[in-house]
Amino acid sequence: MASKANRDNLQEVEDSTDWLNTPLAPLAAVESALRCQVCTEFYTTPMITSCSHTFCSLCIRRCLSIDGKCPGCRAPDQELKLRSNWPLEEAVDAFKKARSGLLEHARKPVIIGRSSPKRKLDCVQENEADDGPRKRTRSSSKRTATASQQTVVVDSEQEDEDYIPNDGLVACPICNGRMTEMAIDRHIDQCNGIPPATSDSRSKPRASATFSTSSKTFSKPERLPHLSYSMFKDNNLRKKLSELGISANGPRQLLEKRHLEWVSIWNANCDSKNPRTKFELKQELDKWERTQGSAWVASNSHKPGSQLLDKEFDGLAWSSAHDDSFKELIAKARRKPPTGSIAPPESQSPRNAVSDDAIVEATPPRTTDYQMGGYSAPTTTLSSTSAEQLSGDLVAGLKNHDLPSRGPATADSIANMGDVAIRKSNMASARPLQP
Amino acid sequence: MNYNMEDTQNSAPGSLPPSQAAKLAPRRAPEGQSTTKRLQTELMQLMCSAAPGVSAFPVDAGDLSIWNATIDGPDDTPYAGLTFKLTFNFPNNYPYAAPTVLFKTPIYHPNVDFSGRICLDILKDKWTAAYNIQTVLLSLQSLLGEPNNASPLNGEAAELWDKDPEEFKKKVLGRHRDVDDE
Ligand SMILES: [Zn+2]
Ligand SMILES: [Zn+2]
Ligand SMILES: [Zn+2]
Repeated sequence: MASKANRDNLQEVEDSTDWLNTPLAPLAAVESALRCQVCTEFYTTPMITSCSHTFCSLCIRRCLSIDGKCPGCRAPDQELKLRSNWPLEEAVDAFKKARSGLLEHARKPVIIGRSSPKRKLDCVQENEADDGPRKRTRSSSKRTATASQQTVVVDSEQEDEDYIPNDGLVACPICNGRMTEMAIDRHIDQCNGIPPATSDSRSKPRASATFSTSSKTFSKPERLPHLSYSMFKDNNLRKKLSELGISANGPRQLLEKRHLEWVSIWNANCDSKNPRTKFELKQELDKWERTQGSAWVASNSHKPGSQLLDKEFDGLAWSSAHDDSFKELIAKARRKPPTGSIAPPESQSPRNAVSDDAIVEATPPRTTDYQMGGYSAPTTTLSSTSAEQLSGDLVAGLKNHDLPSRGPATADSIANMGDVAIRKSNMASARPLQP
Repeated sequence: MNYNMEDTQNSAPGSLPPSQAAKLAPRRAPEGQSTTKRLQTELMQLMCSAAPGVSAFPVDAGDLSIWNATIDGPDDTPYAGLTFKLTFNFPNNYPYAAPTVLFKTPIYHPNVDFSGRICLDILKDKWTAAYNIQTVLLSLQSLLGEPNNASPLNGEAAELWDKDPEEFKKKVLGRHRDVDDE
């Protein structure tokens, strides 16, 4: 169990630096562009803001529910104005599908003669057999890098994804259980996220990449409204939470935060084209409760950052809540080449070790070309972009006596930041693949 | 203008009683929890491609909540050639809330007090979830060269910065000393 958790954890640390020191190093920038700046994961249900920034639905909803501002530029925005960024989602799905195969390919010392058209065909078929009708869920990190996936190409047409049994039944948008049209309305009212028993083992198709799925014809669960908590007495709020099917226990502040989080989770799920079950959503809420939730409760204010005021850091709780395969992480980092010019501080510096257990099989690094491509560190295209933007903004802010002031210069720089970001991401994604 | 640090997030850690609330969280193994995930990714990226002049690393294995970091003083500033150590404390709800950042190395600077607490907007009301360790470090690095003298924590430093750069530099060098890691 523990080792499995570790392994999963480790896989989750997959990030854009994986491409460094491979012939496909430019993909680091591509991958960075496909990851959310808030959670650093691949976009999950990306939503575009009024200021044209994009974040995962859940990430941006959380941010907006905290301070009503876009985390990319601090422009005010509202959840109502968020719009799906479908093409980006498609790009992310395609990239994720191609990733493990590409990476394996990139890490192979010799790659000649491995991808004849015949071979490619075989692979696609093998994949279909492997994955079956039930696609990986989008948040899943399981990427089984079987040899057969080496040559997987980005292929938009995979039948299994759109698989809808021709059984004359309709799918519940919450649990995906299939039932007659007659039954569905009543079912949705009381759906607990677990599909009713059915004899069809293929009854839970998880569509994933294409947008033509006919599930659109079914009504999606409705978005939840935000509450103005000041209008609710404790008991009413508890009642509200019970009605929503979530825990109504705990101090007042936790109730509010829990509700807020539930609304974010729920509404983000409404944005998703592969909605998860209510059961899964509740698990997500549990996870939040065990980790982030506690930090919010320690706060007396909705202002980000301020919660540390009345809280001494409970390191033990934190580290158990955030238990991780730290050593494996370091080991993994060691296997990667450093491209920056700065070593981590202290004696633990893994960086000296890096070149020692060099990636022997890998082709010589071509990261140099890559780094000279007009934008800075390859793996952090997004974050370095934002570093520039934000420190530029900071400087602007400082010159206009930063603290709580929001001078016009900041607005200007915000506008510029948008431009820079767009230019940069254009550069990144328009960059030719070959180094 | 905020001379006292009472209501900032950078109040000295440990000056307040342990949070009861933090204990609500059962101690269970994570399931790809987003804060951990994010810090892991940041670590990976910092190790593989940190920006010049800054670095950061968790203090000890198994706990990603506390990091040590360094900033090299930028050239053409009174801090050129000096290296500064800092600590980062990450709350459970990072990145939705800012880390608490302190200078460990004594530093003479208009926006840092003698306990190492920092007055910087992005660590307070201007924090956003899109900031990360590296952006904070780079912001602090540029703060070294461009202090915000409108809201100093160290009034004398703010004054000397404008009036007597040489004296300022002397104070900087006088205050700087290497600190051991505890
Ligand atoms: Zn995200
Ligand atoms: Zn924005
Ligand atoms: Zn159902």
